[in-house]
Amino acid sequence: MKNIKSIIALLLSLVLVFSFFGCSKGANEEKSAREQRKENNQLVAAIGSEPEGGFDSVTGGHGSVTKLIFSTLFKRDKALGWEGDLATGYSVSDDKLSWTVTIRDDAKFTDGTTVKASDVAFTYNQAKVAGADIDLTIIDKVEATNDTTVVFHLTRVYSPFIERMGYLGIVPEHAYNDSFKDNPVGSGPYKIVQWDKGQQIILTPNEDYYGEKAKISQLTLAFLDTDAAVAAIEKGTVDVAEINGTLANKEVPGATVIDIPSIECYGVCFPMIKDTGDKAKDGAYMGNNVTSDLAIRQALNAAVDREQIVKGVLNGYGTVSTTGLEKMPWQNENTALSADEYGNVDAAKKILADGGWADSDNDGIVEKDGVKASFKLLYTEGKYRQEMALEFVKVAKSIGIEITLELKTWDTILDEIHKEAVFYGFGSGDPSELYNLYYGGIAGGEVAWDNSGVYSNPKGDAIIDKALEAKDEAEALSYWKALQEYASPKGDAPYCWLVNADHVYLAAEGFSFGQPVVQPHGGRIFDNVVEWNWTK
Amino acid sequence: MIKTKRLGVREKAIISAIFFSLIVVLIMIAGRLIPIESIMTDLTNINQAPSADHLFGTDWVGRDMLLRTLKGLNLSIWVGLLCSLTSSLIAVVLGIIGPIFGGVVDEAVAWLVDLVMSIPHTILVILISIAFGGGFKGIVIGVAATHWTSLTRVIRAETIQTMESEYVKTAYKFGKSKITVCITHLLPHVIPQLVVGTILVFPHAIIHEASVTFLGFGLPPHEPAIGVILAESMKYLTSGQWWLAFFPGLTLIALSLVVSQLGNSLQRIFDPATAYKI
Repeated sequence: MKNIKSIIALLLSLVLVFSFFGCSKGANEEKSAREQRKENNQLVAAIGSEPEGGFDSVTGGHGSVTKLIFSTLFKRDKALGWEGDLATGYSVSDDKLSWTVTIRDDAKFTDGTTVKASDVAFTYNQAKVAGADIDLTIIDKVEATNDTTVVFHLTRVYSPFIERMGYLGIVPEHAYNDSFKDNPVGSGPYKIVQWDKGQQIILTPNEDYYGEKAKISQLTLAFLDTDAAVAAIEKGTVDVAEINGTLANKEVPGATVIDIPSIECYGVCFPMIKDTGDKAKDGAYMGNNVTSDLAIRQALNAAVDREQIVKGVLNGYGTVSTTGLEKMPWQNENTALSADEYGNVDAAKKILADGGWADSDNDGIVEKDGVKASFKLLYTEGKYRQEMALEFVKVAKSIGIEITLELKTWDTILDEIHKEAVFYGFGSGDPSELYNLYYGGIAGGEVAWDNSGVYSNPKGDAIIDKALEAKDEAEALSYWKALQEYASPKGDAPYCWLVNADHVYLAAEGFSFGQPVVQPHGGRIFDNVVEWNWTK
Repeated sequence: MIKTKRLGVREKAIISAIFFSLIVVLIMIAGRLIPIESIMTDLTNINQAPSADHLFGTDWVGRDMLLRTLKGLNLSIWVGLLCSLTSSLIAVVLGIIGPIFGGVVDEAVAWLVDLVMSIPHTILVILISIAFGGGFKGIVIGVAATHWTSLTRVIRAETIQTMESEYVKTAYKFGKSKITVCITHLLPHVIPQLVVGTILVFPHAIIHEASVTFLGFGLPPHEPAIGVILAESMKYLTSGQWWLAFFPGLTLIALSLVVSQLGNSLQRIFDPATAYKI
């Protein structure tokens, strides 16, 4: 009996050992599958998320993924300038209220029909009615004057209007219906051949695409969370995935880290007015008696060691930011803090003392006129946010400011968004973002996080008015730079900007993104998808 | 020196009850004494493995894991205390008023117990926690509102049994009101079950708090709660930072066992069958 048990145990052990061999062989097979994909110029990428509302570019909401299947009128070039995508040129009327755009005549939708100016007009008129995720209230109407010319009539002068023309993917009027979001027809570099909802989308190049042809012959977008994507790369079932800096240290055989600098900027927005019990236009209470004091805001700007955050939180995958505009052509470099002007706790304490803040009751928190330097910092879930907020709280404590963290969602944050400090990620790569961040008139308006701190400097507002009333972005540039004399840490310090976080990818050896465009908040990694390729 | 062999069940139970109570009190004192500054970020000291300087290592923003764990256990104990006391209060009220008033009231109590028990525990805790705005308040209400059922049944059964006693019947015949009978004759009889039940709910409560927080529906991620620590450590396990989950997990289990043992010891003390055993 004992012998039989021993034999069974031995057999089971052998089965176990061979099952490991089986697993090992499976992994090798997966790796050879990657080799096969390389030979066939195919790619599996775990980048981006599945658009919940489908691929309807009229309603937007899926950012960079749109670029795979739709064309826009204009697109950002690699130096944050503009270049034509469908557009071949544009002109602005003397009263600056009409923008006339000419489009190419050789662009075709994937159903074989030609892209016409009427499709452009339809897209924008439809988006205005459907409620796109960008503000199109400045558009009065859009009309096509012939097959290749479209005119945008605006309700007011708006110099950065070209941004709006670089956002929406153009849809064919004749094919747009209720099921369009599930069966999109575009004129971009790729077309969808299979969509397994919740799992993956398989795309192949659009043979009729007017631009440079895509090198990857089959692109599969797999919807995986970061950990699963890293494991899949290790196994060989995925070739490239977006990760965060903290995962970049993990060694994955056969894969390398691709670090793409970005202008995705993180910072803390301060309520700028005193709490008088007043409500903003959106009905939420506004004002904070601590953060409305300039000394508090400037002291925090001086105290936070951004280099330390880059090193400790971003694992080196990022750069210091003190203006939120680093690397952008419209940054006024004179308004940025130099390396010796931040991470300086003593200087911060002096700013507080000069501003009348002192710890008279020895509880470690400074006070002024009976008000303790204590406020909340609201943050939402997201990459690096909690870690940076924790560091911000620690630094604040070191200079005698007490900050209590509170986790919110973008819905639950609304009640307190104008009365407590808020942790944000910005960096759209458009100068008009300065209008959204700092223009007094939009605070508490349609979008709660536009100027949520209710900052208003009449001089700054006047400069923004001039920037918006300029003919185009080039003419507005000097105004955007001038604005930063006020809306910067050396001015009114409405924000404490911290870092620009790089976009980090883990990719199988031999894969190249080519030369990506400047990556904004949310990423534009698909903008140059035609350059993606296997180099070896 | 006390010779263990000569100790009876009661003596052993008393010693272990004192010992386990001491551990709980020590954790609470340690948790209170740890200044908040000492569990703040230290970006120059991130991802340190356990060493003499940091016995439980440090996390991805340089926080000392021993201090975070102690703070977390302290928080767990508070959650456990509040939850078990509230649950017991609900249990004792429902467990006594059911049999005393009888009829529809008793049926309603029994129906309510069955209703709560029929819904999966964790889901109910999550739903109640979300409904009350999450955070510490949400999780305490969620756990308290779901952990009174078993104890209610025990107290109800004990009350029904006691109500059959001659002295209770006599009290009624002397014209005593239901409230008086309840306070003078019924409540003292259920105190042993109540104390033991309260303590046994405690480990349940802290494990539930940790598990619901682990799932992301409990305490916010910047709080030093064990559930938060365990949930966040998952992101770093594949990078080899085993200490982030190992020590806090181990201490949570140990704390649950300690409190459970305390309950068992008290049960032995109160139970006439074991109280005087040699």
